[in-house]
Formats: sequence, C-alpha cells, structure tokens
Amino acid sequence: MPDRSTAREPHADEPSVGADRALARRPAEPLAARAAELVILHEPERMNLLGLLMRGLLAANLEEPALRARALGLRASIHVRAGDMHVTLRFAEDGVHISAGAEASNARVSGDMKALLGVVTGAGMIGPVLRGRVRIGGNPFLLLRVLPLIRARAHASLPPAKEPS
Amino acid sequence: MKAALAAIVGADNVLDAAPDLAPYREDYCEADPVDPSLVVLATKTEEVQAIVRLCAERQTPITPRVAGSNVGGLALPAPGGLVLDLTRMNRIVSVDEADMYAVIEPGVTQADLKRHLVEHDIPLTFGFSLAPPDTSVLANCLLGGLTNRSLKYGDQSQWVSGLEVVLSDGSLVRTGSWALSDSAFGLVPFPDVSGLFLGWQATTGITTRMAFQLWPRHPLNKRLFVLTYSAHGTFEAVRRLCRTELCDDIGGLSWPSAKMMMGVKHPYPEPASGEPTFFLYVDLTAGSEAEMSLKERTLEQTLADVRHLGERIEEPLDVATLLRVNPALGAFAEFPVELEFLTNHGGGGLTWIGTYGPLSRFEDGIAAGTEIMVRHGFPPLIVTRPMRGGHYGVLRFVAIFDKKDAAEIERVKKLNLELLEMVTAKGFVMYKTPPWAWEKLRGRIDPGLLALMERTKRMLDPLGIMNPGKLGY
Ligand SMILES: Cc1cc2nc3c(=O)[nH]c(=O)nc-3n(C[C@H](O)[C@H](O)[C@H](O)COP(=O)(O)OP(=O)(O)OC[C@H]3O[C@@H](n4cnc5c(N)ncnc54)[C@H](O)[C@@H]3O)c2cc1C
Repeated sequence: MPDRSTAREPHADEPSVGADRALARRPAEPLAARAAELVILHEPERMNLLGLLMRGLLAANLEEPALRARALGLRASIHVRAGDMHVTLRFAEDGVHISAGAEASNARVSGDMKALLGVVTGAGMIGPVLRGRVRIGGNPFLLLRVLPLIRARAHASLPPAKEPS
Repeated sequence: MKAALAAIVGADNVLDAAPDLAPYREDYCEADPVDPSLVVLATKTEEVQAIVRLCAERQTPITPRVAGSNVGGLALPAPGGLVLDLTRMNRIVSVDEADMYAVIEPGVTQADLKRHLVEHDIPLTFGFSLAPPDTSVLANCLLGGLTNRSLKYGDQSQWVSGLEVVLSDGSLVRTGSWALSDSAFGLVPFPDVSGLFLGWQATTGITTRMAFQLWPRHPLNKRLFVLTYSAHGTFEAVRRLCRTELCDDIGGLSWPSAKMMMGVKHPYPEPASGEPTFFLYVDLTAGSEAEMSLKERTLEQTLADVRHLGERIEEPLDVATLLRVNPALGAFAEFPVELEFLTNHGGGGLTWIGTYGPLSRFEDGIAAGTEIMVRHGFPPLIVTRPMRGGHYGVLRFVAIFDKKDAAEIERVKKLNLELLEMVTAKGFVMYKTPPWAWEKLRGRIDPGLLALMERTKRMLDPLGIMNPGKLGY
C-alpha cells in the first residue's frame, strides 16, 4: 500500500518514488486542478504505460461534476490488465489511486491493448466481451459504474484530424 | 567591423549587446557556450557575399545559423567570431509543381514550407524531421538529416537538386542543372560538386538558395502505432516491412518516449514489467481506398508473420484512437511538431548520439546502448527509422539533462563518449558529428579521405574563416 503521507506531498519537479498529483495545474483552472488532484499516481517514475493512460482518462473525466461525484462515491478496487501490464484503480474518499500491479480487487477487466482501447474510446464492453477479446471478472455492476470514468471524452484541445505530414 | 557590417545590412541588423548575443552563444547540447563578437542578420544573397568578403578581409571567422537546433554545437561560433543569422532570409523563391521541386532560402522553416504548400493548395509535400517547426529545411538538407520521408527517399541531402553557395572569397557558385538550365531538376549530368557543401557543416561555403525535390501528397494517409515487446521482434518487423515497399515511414521509439510524453520527466531507467519496449509508427499513404486497404492488409500480414516466429506484437492502433485516449500522444498526429518533452522540460539540455548504420545490427546496437544508458542512470530513449528502402537506418540515443547542473553535464559527456565508442565499434557512423566526436573518430577515419578533405578545405577556405572548429578545421 502506498504511504499516504507521501501520497499527500505536492508534485515535485525532481524524481520521486512517491505519488504524483496527476497533471496538477495552477489555481487559474480550479476545477481541472481539483479533478487532476483527485487522481493519485503511485510511483509515477515506475508506472507502466497503462497506468499513465488511465491517469489521463480519469483526470479528464473527473472534471465533469457528475463523474467526479460518482468516482468519489465508490469504495472499490478494479484490476485492469492490458497484455502483461497490470494496474489497480482504488476508489477512495480522497480520490482514485492508481498503482502498478494486481492488488486485491472487487472487479477485473483484461484484454489486449487494442481491445481495451476500443472499450475506452466507445466501442462498449458487451461486444468485445462476447467476442472474447475482453474478459471481465468480479462484480460486473461495479465495472458498469466505472466504465464512464475511464471512457475517452472528446477533448476540447484536440487538433482536428489532419494528414500527418 | 560593426560599422562596416552596418554599411552592408543597416545598423539595426548588427547586434553586439550582451543580451542580444546571448541566444547565439549556446544550443541545446552540452557544448561549452561561446560568445560571438557580433551577430549580423542578412536578408539577401548580395549581403551575404559582402559580409563574407568583409570577413575574409579582416580574417574574421563566420558561422551561419538559423534556429541553432542541431544539437551538436555546429552553429556555435569560433571564439570572437561572427554569427550570420539567416532567419530573415526566408523566401520561398518558387515551387515548381509540375517538376516537383522548390527553391528556398536558408531561413525557410519546416512550418513555413508546409504552410505555403497547404495555403497554395499544392498537392506536394516534403519530409518533416522531429525538430521544432522553426528549424531550417535547407540546413537539414545540408546536414543530411532524416525525416518522415527518408524511408522512401533517403537522407535529406539526397533530395537536393541544386545549390547556390557563397564561397569564402564572396564569389557565388551554382551546382546542379540550374548552372545551365532555368530548371533546377537535378544534380545531373555535369560533374556534381554539391558534395563540397553537403555534410561540411558550413566549413566550405554558405548556401543562399537551394533547390530540392518535393514529393506527391496523397489524398489518403494513415499513421498507425504498433506496440512491440522485443528489439528483435521490432526490427525483424521493420526489415520485413521495408521489403514490402509499401510504407512511407516506420519510426521507432523506445518505451520511455511515451512516458515522457505523458508527463513523466524522469522515467525509471528500467521498463515496468509487461510493458511494450518499442512503439513503431507506420505511415501509409494511398491514392484510393483500395490501395490503402491493400497496404493495411500487407502490414497486418507482415506483423502476423513475425508473430509466427514467436514474437509478441500488438495489432496496429490508429493514431486517432490514441489521441482520443490521451491528447499528449498527439505529438505524433501531425508534423512538424514541437516535442516539448525534449525541448521544454525545464532543464533545457538535450543531447544525443545519432548515427546511421546497417539495419541488420540494430538489435545489437540497441542492447549495448540500453545497457550503457541505464548504467549511467538515463532512461534508454531511443529513436530509430529505416532509411532509403531499408538499406540503412537511423539509431539515435537521446538524453535530456539540466544545463545548470555541472555534474549532470559531465554525466552526459561520459554517456555520449561511451555510446560513441560502442556505436562506432559496431559499424554505425555518427551524423551531424559534433567537434568533440570528430576528434575522437579522426584517428579511425580512412587517412585518404581525411587528406582529401584537408586539400578540399584549403582550396575552398584558404584563410580558415568558414565556421572554424567543425570537422577538425
Ligand atoms: C527536438 C529535436 C528533434 C530533432 N529531430 C531531428 C530529426 O528528426 N531529424 C533531423 O535530421 N534532425 C533533427 N533535429 C536536429 C536539428 O533540428 C536539425 O539539424 C536542423 O536541421 C537544424 O536546423 P537549424 O535551423 O536549427 O540549423 P542550425 O542549427 O542553425 O545550423 C545547423 C548547421 O548548418 C549550418 N548552416 C546553417 N545555415 C547554413 C547555410 N545557409 N549554409 C551553410 N551552412 C549553414 C550551421 O552553421 C550549422 O553548422 C532535431 C532537433 C531537435 C531539437
């Protein structure tokens, strides 16, 4: 388990093996800043790609008041696995903790990277599960509640789709 | 000198105040800063000629510079020398749509040329380096740099179809077909002397115009990301994809790059367990849906063939999907790009050992380079790309560092030295070779080549005023 006091430290520029208040911004953006601070990445320097992707998704979604309320209302852990990468998302009263590895969880979701990215970008869960590309375990209702929290939103800052070069 | 220069370009275009000179005394890399005596901004060829003549008269060293982003100290002046800033010499003189070439001045940046082609609805394009949008297209051609069209067409010096160069006595020479023709279609058929200026790091002349080849911009294009889990699997796939001749580009980035893009400044040097080791970004272009679909299927089949060898490779992901998941990954959505995690990370320092070498040896080079980087405490940030159909490729080991931290500067110097020794022993050749590396390599370079270079240099720059300190001169 992470050291909660370390997890409370503000994000420092220098490398740390503590926790990183993800994407912390300046007070000019209070909502975004608060949302980002609610995503607590454990050992950011050692975090795998999956955890970093989850951080981005959660931080963006928690800017939505309804989704933030939903996240803060949950008390559960979800184990997500993409290929051989594992992370555990723990929903607690102070925010969502992301740690690498498989910790005790109430629900599990796994699949290859492409299938999982399909789920978070809107392909839905049912089809990939039926096709066997995504596997779920534990409490399925919990997964349904969590899914909107890790779904990619249309980012306002996205450049329009253009040719790459 | 200042007054004489002012007479050529106007007093406003001669800088000598310390704050104005400051940006010219260093670049991204670990090279020691050097103070220029003066900076002069030119806007046309005649001015460059007059400035060079003046420098010759006064035996003042002269170093041309555009964005100074070469990451090797190549645009740093000799102590007390003059910097010739060419950013304002930024005309796109012409674009010949029918014969697919452009004539540009040194200050034309990647962003400028792209904008011009798009705004004028010209269905042509060129190659983009990963360098910031404000870097000079011409400088990268002179340096033989690499771009997202180098797999098809080779390093950028191979796209040059004519040069206009100011020699060290102020005289002007044109190379290539436009020495006779009004069309700068190529470097053939006269004896080609462009090589006297390509790869010479401004030690033989200052190029004031360049004709270079553009390529068709296809209506359809896709950038696909492929996650791989071993160096062997990665480069087996790359080599096979090259032989399909269907890809426009196959860029490869090692795992720390994605983490750094997503805001982890100093990823732990070892990958997390189960993580992909490389990300390939594969560019496909096509004139029709049918052609694109054939290319995609061939890509998928090639990856499947490598999987059958026991290698783990994920299915291709569209860049648009990745962008939706994390906009930070959009750095690779469109070129040119400012890779902020390299250029704007707080510490200010960026350095690398960038080499060209045989694709068959990439796994070997990557294993050795990774070991060296990790041992020195740097995440193994590696950039690769096959070039010219796969006959060779770029293998680049990249490190960021804090320019204010003397100990860290020493650490990157040691790192680079060890990497240089390793890559050279494995048959890779460092490109855009910085002065320190040239000194290390000199004793191993064919003496016949060194002697011929020496004679060439003496012929073209008898006074030794052209960008001294580079390539051992
Ligand atoms: C983040 C980053 C990514 C990069 N990625 C790539 C990449 O993918 N591929 C790549 O090839 N490079 C890359 N580079 C390196 C660099 O940007 C290129 O070398 C670029 O072409 C240099 O352009 P510049 O305008 O900065 O030239 P400068 O650094 O100003 O000059 C480069 C050299 O050219 C000489 N020179 C300039 N103008 C003239 C002239 N008119 N006549 C003769 N000599 C001249 C200078 O004296 C100097 O020796 C990257 C750099 C950065 C910072």
